[in-house]
Amino acid sequence: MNIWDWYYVWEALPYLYRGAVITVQATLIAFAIALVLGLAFALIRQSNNRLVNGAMAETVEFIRSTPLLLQIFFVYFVGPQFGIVIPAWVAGIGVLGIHYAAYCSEVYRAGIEAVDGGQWEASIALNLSRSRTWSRIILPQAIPPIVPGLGNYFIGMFKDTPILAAIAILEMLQQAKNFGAENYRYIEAITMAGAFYLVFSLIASAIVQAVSFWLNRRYHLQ
Amino acid sequence: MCRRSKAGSGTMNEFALGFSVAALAKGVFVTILITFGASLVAIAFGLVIGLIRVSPRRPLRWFGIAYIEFFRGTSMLVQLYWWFFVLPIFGVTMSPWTVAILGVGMNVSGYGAELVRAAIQGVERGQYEASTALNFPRLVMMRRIILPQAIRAMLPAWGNLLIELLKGTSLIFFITITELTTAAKLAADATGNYLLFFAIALFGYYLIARLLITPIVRWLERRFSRGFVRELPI
Amino acid sequence: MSEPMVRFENVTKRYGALTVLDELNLDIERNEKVSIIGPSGSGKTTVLRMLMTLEKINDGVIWVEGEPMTHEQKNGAMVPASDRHLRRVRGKVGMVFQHFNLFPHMTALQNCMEAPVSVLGLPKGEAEERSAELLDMVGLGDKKGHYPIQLSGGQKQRVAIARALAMRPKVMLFDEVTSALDPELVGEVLNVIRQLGSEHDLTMLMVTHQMGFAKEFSDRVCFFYGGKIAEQGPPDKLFNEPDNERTRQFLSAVLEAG
Repeated sequence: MNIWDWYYVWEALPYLYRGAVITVQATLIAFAIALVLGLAFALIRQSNNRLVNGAMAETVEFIRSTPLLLQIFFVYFVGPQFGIVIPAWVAGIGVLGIHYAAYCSEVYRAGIEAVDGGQWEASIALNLSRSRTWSRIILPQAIPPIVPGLGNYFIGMFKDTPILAAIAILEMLQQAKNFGAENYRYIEAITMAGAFYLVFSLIASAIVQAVSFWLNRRYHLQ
Repeated sequence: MCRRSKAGSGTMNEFALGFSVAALAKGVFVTILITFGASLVAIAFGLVIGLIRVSPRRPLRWFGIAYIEFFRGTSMLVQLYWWFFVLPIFGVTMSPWTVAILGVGMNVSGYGAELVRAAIQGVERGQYEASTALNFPRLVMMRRIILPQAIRAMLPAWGNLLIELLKGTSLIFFITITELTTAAKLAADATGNYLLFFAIALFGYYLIARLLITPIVRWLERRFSRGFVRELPI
Repeated sequence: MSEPMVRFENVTKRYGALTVLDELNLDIERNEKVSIIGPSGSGKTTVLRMLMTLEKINDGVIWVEGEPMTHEQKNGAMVPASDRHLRRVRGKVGMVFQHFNLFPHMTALQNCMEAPVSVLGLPKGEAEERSAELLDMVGLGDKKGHYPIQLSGGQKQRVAIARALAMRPKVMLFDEVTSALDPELVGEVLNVIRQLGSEHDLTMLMVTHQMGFAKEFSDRVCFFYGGKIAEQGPPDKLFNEPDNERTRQFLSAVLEAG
């Protein structure tokens, strides 16, 4: 028996392809959730109300210190106990998005706090409204520098998608494993899945760098 | 929840509950043990690979880059499967415990090596120049001058990384060791009380992170900050 | 006096297309005190950094006590110096930096002891004795256990001087050592350098903006301009009746600024 058999590589491809589509879809949707929700978390943390601010900080801290897998279990299994059935797809991607929203909110916060305090003073002096100050003055300066930070979490989410298999979402790694179990051949499928993650990560980090460079130029920050 | 006064049907529930709580406690213990073992692996490999990554010799540097990109670029779960399902094909069969500690630890060591590299390269240039002016050999300069400063600078980031490691141990669920997440799932499946057991497990992780990992890292930070914060003159 | 302590022979330093030093020739005699002055970007700091091997040179040879520092002789040919050779010759040179570069995680005494112990292999007791003596000499006998952050700028710079001296160098380089100090702390550092010059057999080479000190302390002053020595000579001559128009312009601009 060969250690590496190309026959199984070709056989495994359709499985991996089906899994890869789900993996990429899940990552993109969850990342969109993380970007929007993360910004919301970060803005809530800017609140002057000590209680709101503190509660948000604690929530973020809690989400960040507990495992994604357990959070997915929590949402997926606790609902039915009270008669609310959440589809695996919704629970899995939703929780993935919320989990990373907590991380993204810290990145946003760092970006917001790095904006020079003089910008706020100038906006007040020009009598800009609060929402306009945020949308036109602060965020355009805060976000371009943090694109690499957000991008890293995008790649992180991608690598966390295999966890979705625990609630029977057939992403790529699970497909690879199923193929392995059916054929008693794990090496090709799992190695190819690993290679796919590696290639995707490297390409994604190159894209993140390009976007970051473009944004910084677009807003004349460099 | 069950009360002692409700006998009869309560005994069965009580038995299941007591059994589940014991299993959960054991799960906490296993999680802490694996976290500890994997942390040692991550720290040791992270330090060595980080140093290799900033070596003046190019082949060593390349090896460092490849190691870091490999362990950070492929998913932790892929790596665990690789250890668990693929290595036996080459005649290397490891116990689930070994896979858990090595697999989680080496995955995190890729991130750790990157922290080590950044911290070493972040030490002020003047420190390297002063070391050259005083004629230190490279190894002495690293050990006595650069590393003590780099370690101090990277400790807070290691605190976060070890919490990531703790969370990563939950993936051992997939390779048949009954750690905290697995124990919670089993207990919840057995009793049907998902809310209770998952909530307990979530808080369990939170407490391990906040009451065990964070204080240890803080303590190390204090130990390594000699000379960096203004203290009363001795 | 047969052999100069330090000799720069046709030394050229380039950063890309920019030539920072252009075929520098400069001899420094044993125990001579030489000041280097000039506008920023004239290459004066680069001279010290090359002698300390912090910068590689593109062309020429630097000699220390008649021995090539940047090169070594192998089978009759000059080849670029190996690390071992570099470390042996480098031991004759010590340097004090503009920004002190003290080791923040070590006390004043540990800063001074570290290199004698780990480079020269001195026993701890002996290194401690030597370091304590030097700290006494720079007037910091009571600050031995202090960490750099607990010291003022002037005190830090005096520790840095003691640290360099603990290696018993033959040549001491001072790179704008008072530029990062508050004005009222400059005097204490200059006093230590003055004392060193009069009490020790040391060749000293300093880049400085303190014209008064350069005039009083140096045996010779070199004025750098555009990567070359535009003029050099005894301080009285250079400061009072410079030959070069550039020197005159530079001095009048500096003296006007106070």
